[in-house]
Amino acid sequence: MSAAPDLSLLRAALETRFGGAIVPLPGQAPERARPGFRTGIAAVDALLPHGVARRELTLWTGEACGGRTAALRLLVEAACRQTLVALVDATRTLDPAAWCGPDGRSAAGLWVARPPASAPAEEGGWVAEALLRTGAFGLVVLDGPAPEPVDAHRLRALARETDAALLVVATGAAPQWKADARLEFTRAASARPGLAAGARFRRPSGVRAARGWGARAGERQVELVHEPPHRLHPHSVPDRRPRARP
Amino acid sequence: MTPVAGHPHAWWADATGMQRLGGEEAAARRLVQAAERAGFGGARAGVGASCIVAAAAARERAHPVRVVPPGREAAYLRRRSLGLLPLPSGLRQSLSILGLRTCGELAALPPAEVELRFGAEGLRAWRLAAGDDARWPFRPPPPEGAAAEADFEPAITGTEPLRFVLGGLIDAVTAQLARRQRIPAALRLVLRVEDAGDDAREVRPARPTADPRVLGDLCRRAVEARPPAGPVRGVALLAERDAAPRADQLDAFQAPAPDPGALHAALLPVFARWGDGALSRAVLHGAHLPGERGAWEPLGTDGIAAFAATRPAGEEADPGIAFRNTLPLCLRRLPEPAPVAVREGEGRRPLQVEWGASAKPFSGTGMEGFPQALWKTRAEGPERISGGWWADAEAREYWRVESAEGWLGLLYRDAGSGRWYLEGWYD
Repeated sequence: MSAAPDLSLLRAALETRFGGAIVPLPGQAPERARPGFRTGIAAVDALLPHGVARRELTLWTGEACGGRTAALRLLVEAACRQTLVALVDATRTLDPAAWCGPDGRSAAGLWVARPPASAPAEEGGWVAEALLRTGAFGLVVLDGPAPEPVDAHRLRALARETDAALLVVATGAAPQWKADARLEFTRAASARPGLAAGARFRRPSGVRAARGWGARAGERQVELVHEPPHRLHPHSVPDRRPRARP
Repeated sequence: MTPVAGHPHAWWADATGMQRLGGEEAAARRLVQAAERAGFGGARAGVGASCIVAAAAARERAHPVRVVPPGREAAYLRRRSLGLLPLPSGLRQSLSILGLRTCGELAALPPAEVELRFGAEGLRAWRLAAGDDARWPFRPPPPEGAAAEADFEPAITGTEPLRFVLGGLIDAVTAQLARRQRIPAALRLVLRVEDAGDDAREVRPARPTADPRVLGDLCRRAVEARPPAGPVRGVALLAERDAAPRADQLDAFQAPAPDPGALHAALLPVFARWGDGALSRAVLHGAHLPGERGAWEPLGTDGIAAFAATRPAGEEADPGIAFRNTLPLCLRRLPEPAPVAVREGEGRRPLQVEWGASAKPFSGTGMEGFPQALWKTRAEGPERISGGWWADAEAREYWRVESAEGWLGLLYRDAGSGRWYLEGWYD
């Protein structure tokens, strides 16, 4: 038996006493692993048990109307309670009303970067890189076209370096590079229409998880239910508005 | 009061604000009397606008109190020995070999020649000999104008030449403030426009900073945001507010919040490229039209300080998350509503939607799976929304439409023109 003191015991005792205040010197001891960010959606969290993990590049792809944006909003809402979050709306399509809280504003810890109308959406990757480099954010989300493989590799390295979680919500074609974790949102086939008169829109959707590009193991499919945030109020009477009478 | 380094029996005293005691000279006399009462016989006091002048005045044995009027510093030092100046021994020897004995003789030399021959130390000695002493042993004096300006002859028409001048002006203003151990908190940039008077803009960094990159970028953006109305014949930069350059006190038990100044500096290229929208927040307006229910409010660099001050609850996962398996869909709006062709049925219900030649604006917006050709739809509506009667009145009929594949979009029919538009889709 070694006579050397077991420092791990001392460290465990200190962590029990002081919790997260114990910060080892860089390079001296392994840093305490910090948890990822969970969405609060049972299906997604079942597929990503550690959440959108720090130091990793997570990719969400899939079809429009598959629930990606809704899942993203819940993820950001939950993450803002834990850390500072940056969201790059590269395509300028996010609706602000959906991102406001009860106070009528988006969360104070949410940094939303939106390009001017003249800037191409592909610049989103570059902005996400700049935001990651600051080291100020626990979660950086790039919502827009997927970056090129070289850029994605650099973004992943930066996320690892800054202990941040990087989520790419890719629009357009699925990228040809390997992510640390990948979710695919697809509209599931349904015999019944989702829209019904005076009723909510309900339709199943699938979320499929794969760790790494092309990895088959660990894939599973779940069903989600979609509910639109606003209900339209049908008018059955004739339109008598002056503007409506040319 | 503060002791003079290297001189155990000498003290610096701040003579500003002594009007209630009868002025600087009266205060100095009372100081000397107090020193004599305390047993320091032969105490003397010198009053001057700079340290070197005050030190020279205090060495005059003939006067217990000697006051050098402001503006007379160079003249007063002209006949004083170079031995007064705190110079390195090598430089002192060199000046002696050259035959320079008095401050006046050194101050009479061209400063460029002195700097060329003796470097920065020589230039500092030249300034001291002229009564210009940057040392300030006390707390910063009350704020006074730090300003720099440049004239253009002839007047410039574009903003490009300003970029080269602004760097020098920023350096000059920050140097003036640095003498008082202050840094700029807000600057005022004044463009002197020919035949149109002064055109002023405010430049405010996320937090007080002397970083020339940050200030230069802000000044450049302030100019480019609103180009001057005519040729510019001059530009002035004034420090409107300044602050102490102090670091924040860190908390031993909490991770440090991001430094707004560092955040600003790191994201300068992003703000330069994307403008104020690089930091936006959503604000709910509560209007009826889906496009006007909320807006992205560009905060720009003004919002960095408030953002950096945000302290999230904690790093641990929130235990209060209610796990569920339903997703409330979010609307994604096209930057501009796109016209679509719709075959209407009874009650103007959209039966078929066609998107043809104008498919280009959709590329890159994330509308994967949007049916490109004619497609049948199930629709729910209409919701008639009117608004904006005070400007361009709107009367619209909104429909939610669903394709057979489950694509859910938001269409509206302009009741005035009868045209159909795609507002966005739910995701």
